[in-house]
Amino acid sequence: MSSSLRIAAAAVALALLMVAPGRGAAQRFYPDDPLWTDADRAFDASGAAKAEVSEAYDFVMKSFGKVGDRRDIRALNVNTLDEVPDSSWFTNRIGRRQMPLDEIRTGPDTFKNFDVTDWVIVQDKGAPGFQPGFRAYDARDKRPKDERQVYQLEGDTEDYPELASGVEMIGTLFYHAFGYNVVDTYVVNVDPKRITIAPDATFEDPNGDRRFRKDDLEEILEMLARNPDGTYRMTASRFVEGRPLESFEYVGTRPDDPNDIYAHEHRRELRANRVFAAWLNHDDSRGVNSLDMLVPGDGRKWIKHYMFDFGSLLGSSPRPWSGEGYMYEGPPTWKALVTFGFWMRPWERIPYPDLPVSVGRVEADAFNPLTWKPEYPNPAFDNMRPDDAFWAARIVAAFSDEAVGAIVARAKYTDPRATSYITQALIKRRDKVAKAWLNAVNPVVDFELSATGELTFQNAAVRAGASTPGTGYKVQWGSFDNVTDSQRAVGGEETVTAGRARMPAALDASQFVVVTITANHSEHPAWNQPVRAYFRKQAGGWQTVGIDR
Amino acid sequence: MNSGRCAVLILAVLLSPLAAAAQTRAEIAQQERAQKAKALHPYKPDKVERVLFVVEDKYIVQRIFNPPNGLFLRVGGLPQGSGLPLGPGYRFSNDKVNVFGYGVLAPVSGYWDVGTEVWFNHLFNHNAFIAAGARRQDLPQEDFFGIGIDSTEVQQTNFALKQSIFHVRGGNTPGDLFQLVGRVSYETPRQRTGEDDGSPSIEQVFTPAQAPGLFEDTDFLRTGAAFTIDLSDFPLGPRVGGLYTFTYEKFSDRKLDRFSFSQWAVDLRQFVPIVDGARGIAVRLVATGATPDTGNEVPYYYMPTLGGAYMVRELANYRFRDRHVAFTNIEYRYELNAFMTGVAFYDAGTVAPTMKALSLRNLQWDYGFGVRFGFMGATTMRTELAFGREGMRFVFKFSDVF
Repeated sequence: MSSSLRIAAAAVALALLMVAPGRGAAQRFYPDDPLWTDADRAFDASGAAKAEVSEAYDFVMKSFGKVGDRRDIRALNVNTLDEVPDSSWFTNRIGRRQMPLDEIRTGPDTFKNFDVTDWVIVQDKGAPGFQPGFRAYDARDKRPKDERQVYQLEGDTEDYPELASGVEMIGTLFYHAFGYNVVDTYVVNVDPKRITIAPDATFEDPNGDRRFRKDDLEEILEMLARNPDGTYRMTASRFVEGRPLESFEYVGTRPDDPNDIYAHEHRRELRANRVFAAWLNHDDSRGVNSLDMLVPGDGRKWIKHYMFDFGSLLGSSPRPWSGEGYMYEGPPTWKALVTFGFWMRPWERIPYPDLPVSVGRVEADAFNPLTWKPEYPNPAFDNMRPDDAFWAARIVAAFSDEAVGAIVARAKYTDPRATSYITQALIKRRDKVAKAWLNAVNPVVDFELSATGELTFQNAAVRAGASTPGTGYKVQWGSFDNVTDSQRAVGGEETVTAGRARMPAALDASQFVVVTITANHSEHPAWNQPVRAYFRKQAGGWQTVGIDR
Repeated sequence: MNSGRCAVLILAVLLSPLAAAAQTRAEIAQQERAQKAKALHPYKPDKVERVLFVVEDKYIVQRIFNPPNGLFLRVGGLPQGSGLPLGPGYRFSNDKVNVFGYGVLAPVSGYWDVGTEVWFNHLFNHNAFIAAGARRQDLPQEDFFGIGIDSTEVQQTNFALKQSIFHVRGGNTPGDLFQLVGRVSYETPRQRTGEDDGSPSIEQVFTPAQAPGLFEDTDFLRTGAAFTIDLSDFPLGPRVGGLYTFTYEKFSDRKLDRFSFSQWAVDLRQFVPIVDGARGIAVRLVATGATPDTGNEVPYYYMPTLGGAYMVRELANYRFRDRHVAFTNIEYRYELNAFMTGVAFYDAGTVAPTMKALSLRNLQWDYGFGVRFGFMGATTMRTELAFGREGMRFVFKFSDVF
């Protein structure tokens, strides 16, 4: 190589060194942003095994320890628009599109008319809990044993007819509409005369599995609330396809699942489940009430994550402090002890109306979504930030009164007072959730920049009726360098009273522009926090590509 | 190194990350997943979680203490003051019959008990049961302070009692609102010198006139019935309602014809919730009376007693005994959290030879406070401090007071 060539090669190398992005530098937006699907089914997880998780250990560690990563960081699985992409955990439904009432009402159900009348028991209920039940299949299902569709049937305890079965149905439909994976659930009336026990049905007692006997069924039925016609009202939940891997945790990742890369305590849909749980008083919203299923697809297996067991929603658990405190809390314990119980916890003063026993301890007047608590601490709930809560509160606010009513109606309460009360309580609680969390950040949303440079945006809090309009918005435009992740103000700050502003002409030629918006409302100081929306030029206009909240 | 080689090296360094760098957001995630896929491993619980999981998953506690079938560890079942009796048990059960046998021994006190029972629990379409069994037990250190309310602590003595009991009982299925259970048994109490070195044996202090039946052994045919009305909300730890039991028994002396008597008992328990059930008043009223047949006496070892962790707590076990006993427990219970309940209590009771002689002037009382541990209203452990006329007593039990 001649010396001039060597010099030229060195110069090219030096030039490349200067212009190439370093390993540490990252461009802000990639060509596929904003990502609306997380391809978390891409790697084979067939080696995943059942996780042996102890409930007692879970309670102790979470009540008395600090498990998981507690850094105050943005949720790890959100896209550049601060939204949750569809994944094996979550599918955007009512939060991203108009869900017709019929779809909300139908939920995850496979069958429009569930008409099973003859049941064949194959197993005991298989899990502890307050609701008596068993596993059975439709007697008309003549497929081989391994292919039969099995259902989990659970009833209401003798003194509380319709209570647990009603909220199981309600919880299933709400969680489906939120976007979580749930299993089909139907309210059915089971005629004891039309139940048979399969010859190979099993019952697990402390000695292990044995034959399911007639007296086992009689004992179960004895615990159940009975309808006047002699039938038993139960929920039938369909066993979904795949191999069960027990529950997921609200902390860490599954070490045997290559697709599971975001620490669960930093997953937006798990952190923000606190908002949904508060709305519905789902105090039993812990890991054990979830289910991981290994399912086949595209020549490999992946894990689908389900929420289930909503039987203690809406105050239907026997815990009087449901939603108001953890099962163990040090200071209240000591206060109660030294005052001989004369110190009253605030929730003890809540007056619950006299209603049918099918309605649990749920009300809306004293409900405070900000202080709501599950049974015991949940690391993901503890990590919830205002932006997580805002995301969930928008979903909650998306439920119209009619949608709430349609879901509650599917609980099929025999007493119309129960239907009416729960519907009204949920509507009122929805409004409180919206007010609490839509105003905890600057609630500007739905940014659009037209090809002619006209910006429009909405105020989620005002739209949901959670706030009056503020006094205006301050808008600052800028150019944005996607390679260096830096911005430069263009023009001065502009004040507008409605969600509309015009981009300076100086930005017409930019590839990326950014607009920073603050809002002003005397009652909501968080509105003053700046929200930045980023737009990328594309053929025919501007694409909203990022939001910093 | 010449400059050409240097340039090639720099290019290689620069271009290799460029080739590996993700070009899309999706690629970033997939690269991370690919990296994770190289080091997958199953969830590894730590030792504590592993043990707890096995305990939960394999029902270890139920298997040890109360399995439907097989060998188990029996704890307790003997009178107060016996210490902690432990021993093996065996149960066989199916949908028709429940058979169990056991043997327990309290190593420190020397109390022991062996027994067996066959229980047919699904008679008349699950509406009734009948059971038959036998047991033999030795109670070598039973305390005796004399009879009547005037007995003193300094008179403490002890006696030993060994007996065989053969019984048949039957009634409607437990758990019903009303339960009527009849029972017939044949019992052979045999006395001997007390084995507690801490106090003299009964015959060193008391005469047969002061302790009817002292060392005069006989057999008894015992017949009776108990009627229970259960209006409580939760059998393991009621918060609301009442539980009322009425018992009548006849003890027939089958050998000496000197110690036949009849005995009745009323046990009334009422649970009144305060402030949404987080607090409550629990009241128990017990009255029992033993009336000898004409010309007979009630043997001292079968007389009703007063004292101990289930009656007037500050008093020693069996501190008072006579033919009639009445006592009350009044408890204010207040929930501390899901697992703990605070309690403040007042106990009072008295004994007398006749019902009419039971007098408030002779009331033995105490008061105290404590903490109970359990879940969903059921008490698995209680600690209490009781203060009364005879001092202070610390109570530690693995069961509720009532």
